[in-house]
Amino acid sequence: MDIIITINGKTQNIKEGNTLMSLLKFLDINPGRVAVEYNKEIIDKGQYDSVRLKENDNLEIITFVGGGNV
Amino acid sequence: MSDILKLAGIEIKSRLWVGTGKYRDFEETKKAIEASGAHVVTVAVRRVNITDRTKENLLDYIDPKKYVILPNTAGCYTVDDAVRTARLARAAGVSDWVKLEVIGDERTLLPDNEALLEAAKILVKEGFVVLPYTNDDPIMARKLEDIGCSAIMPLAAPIGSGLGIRNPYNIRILREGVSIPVIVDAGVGTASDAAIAMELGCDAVLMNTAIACAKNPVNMAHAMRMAVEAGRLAYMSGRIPKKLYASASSPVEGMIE
Repeated sequence: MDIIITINGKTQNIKEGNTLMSLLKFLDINPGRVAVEYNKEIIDKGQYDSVRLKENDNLEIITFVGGGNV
Repeated sequence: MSDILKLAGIEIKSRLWVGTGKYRDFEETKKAIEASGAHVVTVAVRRVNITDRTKENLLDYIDPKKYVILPNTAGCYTVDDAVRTARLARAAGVSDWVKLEVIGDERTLLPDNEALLEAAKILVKEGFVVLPYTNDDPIMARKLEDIGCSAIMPLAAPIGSGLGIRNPYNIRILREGVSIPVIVDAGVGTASDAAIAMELGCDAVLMNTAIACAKNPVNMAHAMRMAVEAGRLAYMSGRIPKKLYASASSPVEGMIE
């Protein structure tokens, strides 16, 4: 079964039973290069395996991009 | 003569600090940063583009083992946004430094100092190395030092304007009024501007647009590197006082008659 979650402001259907870590793998995102806010709470990198995603979860996944000021 | 800039226990190998925005691509970013000799490199924090399948990441080009990565809160207009961005940046795991920006207005991109001070207090308490982007205001600089910021980053002119050091006297007063490093951030247009900032006694200069948007960014990065080194050396060497009238540099004795 699929669940609906929001990633970076966009809703997505994903398979039930995913952890944060398996989602990052599925999205082909290197966990070493990002930070994740899960329902407004920052998740330590060591906890990615233990966060199990559920319906209506809200994720912000950020990384570093080119920038100087503003 | 040893003249090494130290910040939060780290020896900073170059007094030229650079941004990573506005380059054509990551390859050009990397080449320009290498030519600049910079050790501290600032980066912005943004959402991962999950539909972009190339998955190229800036940090694949700017090695965090080689550079001091300085995440910034560019684009934040409130205390909450800036604090949240800083926390996320630290959680990414490459740096607990933050170039703290709380912008007051889209047209001028000038800092909102009241909000800046509030955000800085929160982040200092949480153990961040806070480097606030502020006006060339000596009183504000002192307040930021008092609450535990690790350096002051006054603007020389509005961000991206290339107008150079608009108020050298304020920068000097600001420099004399605090004991933490002062790093001019924003407004530099060309090499002479960078040299002036260093001659005023600033500890470093951070720039992005002046290099990235030059016709030849790699050569401009090299020029900036030399300007910062020359300006620093001139400052440390002690310039002569300015005088209204001439003073001959050849002996007045022994003239032929």
